[in-house]
Amino acid sequence: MNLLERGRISGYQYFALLVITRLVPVVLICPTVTLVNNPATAWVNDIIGSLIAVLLVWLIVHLGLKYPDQTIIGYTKKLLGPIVGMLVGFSILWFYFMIAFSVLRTLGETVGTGLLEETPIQVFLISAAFLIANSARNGMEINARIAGITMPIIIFLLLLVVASTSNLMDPGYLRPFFFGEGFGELIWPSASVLSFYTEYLIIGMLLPYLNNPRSAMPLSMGAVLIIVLILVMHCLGMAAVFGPLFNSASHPAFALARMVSLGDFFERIESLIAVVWILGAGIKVCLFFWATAVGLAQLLDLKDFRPLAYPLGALMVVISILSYESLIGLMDVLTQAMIVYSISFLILILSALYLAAIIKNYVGDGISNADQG
Amino acid sequence: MRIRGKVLLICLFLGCLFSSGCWDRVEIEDMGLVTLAAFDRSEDGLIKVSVHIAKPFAISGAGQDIIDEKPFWPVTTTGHTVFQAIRNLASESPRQVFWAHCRVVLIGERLAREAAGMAQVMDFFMRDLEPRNNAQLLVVKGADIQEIMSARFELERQPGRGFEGLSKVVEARKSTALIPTILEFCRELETDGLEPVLGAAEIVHRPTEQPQQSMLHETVVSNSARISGLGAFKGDRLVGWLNDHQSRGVLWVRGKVKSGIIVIRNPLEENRLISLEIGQTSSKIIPKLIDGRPVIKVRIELDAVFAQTQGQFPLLSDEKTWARMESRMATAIHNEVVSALKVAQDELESDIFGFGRAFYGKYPREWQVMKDNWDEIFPTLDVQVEVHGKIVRSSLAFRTVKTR
Repeated sequence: MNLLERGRISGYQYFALLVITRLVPVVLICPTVTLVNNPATAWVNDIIGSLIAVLLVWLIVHLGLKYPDQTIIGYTKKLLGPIVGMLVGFSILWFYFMIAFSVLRTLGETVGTGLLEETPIQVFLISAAFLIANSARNGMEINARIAGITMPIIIFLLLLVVASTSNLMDPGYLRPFFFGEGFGELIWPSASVLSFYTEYLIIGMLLPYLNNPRSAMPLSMGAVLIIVLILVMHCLGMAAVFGPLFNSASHPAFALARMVSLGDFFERIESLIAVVWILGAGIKVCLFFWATAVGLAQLLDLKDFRPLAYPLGALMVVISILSYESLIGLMDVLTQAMIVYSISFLILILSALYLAAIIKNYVGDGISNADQG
Repeated sequence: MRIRGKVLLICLFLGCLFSSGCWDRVEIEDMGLVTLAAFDRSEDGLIKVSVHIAKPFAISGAGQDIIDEKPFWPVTTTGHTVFQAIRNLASESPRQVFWAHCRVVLIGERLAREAAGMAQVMDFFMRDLEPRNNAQLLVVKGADIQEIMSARFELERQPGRGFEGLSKVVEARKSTALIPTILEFCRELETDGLEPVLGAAEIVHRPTEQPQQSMLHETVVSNSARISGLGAFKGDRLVGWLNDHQSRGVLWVRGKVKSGIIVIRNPLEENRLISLEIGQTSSKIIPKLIDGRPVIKVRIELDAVFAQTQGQFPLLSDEKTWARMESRMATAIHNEVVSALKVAQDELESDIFGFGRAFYGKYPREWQVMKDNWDEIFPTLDVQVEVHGKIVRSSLAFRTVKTR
């Protein structure tokens, strides 16, 4: 099958793309935070969600490694046949596209709230979408390289903010370790943490372009490990600084950065967080947008995906504006419907593909790697 | 292709020419920087906001002559809500009011005593993008906010900086007041089993002197301000005042004492006094449940420096006298804490020490039951105070100046 894309990414770039994808909902708006009841125990959610995510990521990577020279769209078509495969393929692409336009809208809203209060959001969305479509059209390598360069910066800035608010931290807010309303209060926040890991379905698109697909498993697990460390650190820092105000901020990482004031000169560093927003979210949108364009071309057996870039980009802007009424509506979706949808969708897709793979193998006309050529 | 690319590139760069700057830019010359803000309830029931806006042209630069003009403009407006009152400044200020540099916020007593009075001001500061929530918060004691906004500091031309400096120095050198940032105040407001306190700003009347012909550049300060003790809150309502003595009692329990002077009687000459300077301190609130009855033990530890004496200086080998001084110091601190406890438990009935929070930390399950009637438990709570003080140094002298 035609991969449509000549680019190759290194293991490190793959790792960076995965880390940035998961960190964006932490630095931009963090819907998990609003679901938390007791700040002192919030970090437990990160660990529970990530533990379940390890299983899901293992399943995604394992499936991908069975067909290391095909994207998820390719083997969906092979495994599920032309009609069902087409439907499932579309639903996967919709999932990618939805993430792309949701993150774009979130970024627009955030920049509108935090930086450019009076700039119409459309101006920002259109210019961002143009850049993203342009970058995706030129292949994934560009985006992967940017990700490789920016990932350390993003992590460094996030941890810098946490470290420089240590003078405001009150360790008393990390106690008691107690679930006032029973362990049931862990369900929603943990599900919210998990729901952002479902975005790792993108691994299905990235894997065949990896220099050495065999390294995908340790790299993906490494990414989850790094992320859970950052999540827990960030969460503990926020709980100690904000205490009961933990779940009040609409942009927690930004709120934290606004608090930084060391020695009367190291302060007002929230623009650094704004840099992280734009870099991180830009890379993430570009990744999912690229996946949509390439996946769509593969699904429809087009010879080239590049003509799709600009029309899809225009569509992305329009849908991102139409799909949510406001940031309040967006948060409502992210804290409720999206959690249920994304988790159940991932489980459905994975079980359908695994089931098909098992049946094909059993029946005997399964696709072995040999007849791929 | 090549030419098309070049044309496209040129067009893009041309675009930069027209899109420089951003939509909502405000030039610095068009901004009025708020340096000090105060909120209160006006007589006719509106929210009153009073601000000092910096006058950049009246701030003299280095090497220039001192300009004999006050470097700020005080202005007051009212409105139905906090934000309306603030926005109403737009009809009086020719420059767009900009809040990011406001470092001190004063709250009038009338507004502070209202239910949800503080909360609405806090909501503005926590929500809006412009103001910093690490501005420092003070409550005004016994004066109208306009009166305290007229206070001048001889050492600072901007009263905002004066209040800022005052807050810092009081906390660091005297420890008789706590000046939380807006975030810290809101955090305490929401903390279970802890009621907030705020430093109290008070006006100091000074005799007005008429400037004489010869002292042209001398500014005459009529009113100044000082920070005197704490305002105690219950929820977001101000319920009473603590004097310096009681305030340090609160700070001892909260573990926020950084420095200060303790005066005790000299064990060698009972009518002479000794000053001890507080060094390192630490405090711990130990909650206990004895047969289901809550009991609190407060353990305070400190190092002090023998700072000054009126009479004799005891011999270095005189262990008994040193021990007596240490026990007198412990008693003095004990008295401060007990006087604070007495006010908080008997008059204010407000848990400004965070005893409830200590219970929540150690007995979260029991606290779920206790917290609903904490208001009844707290006034009769059994609190034991334990002070362990040591005199560790005597600065630069080992004996006093002798009078023959």
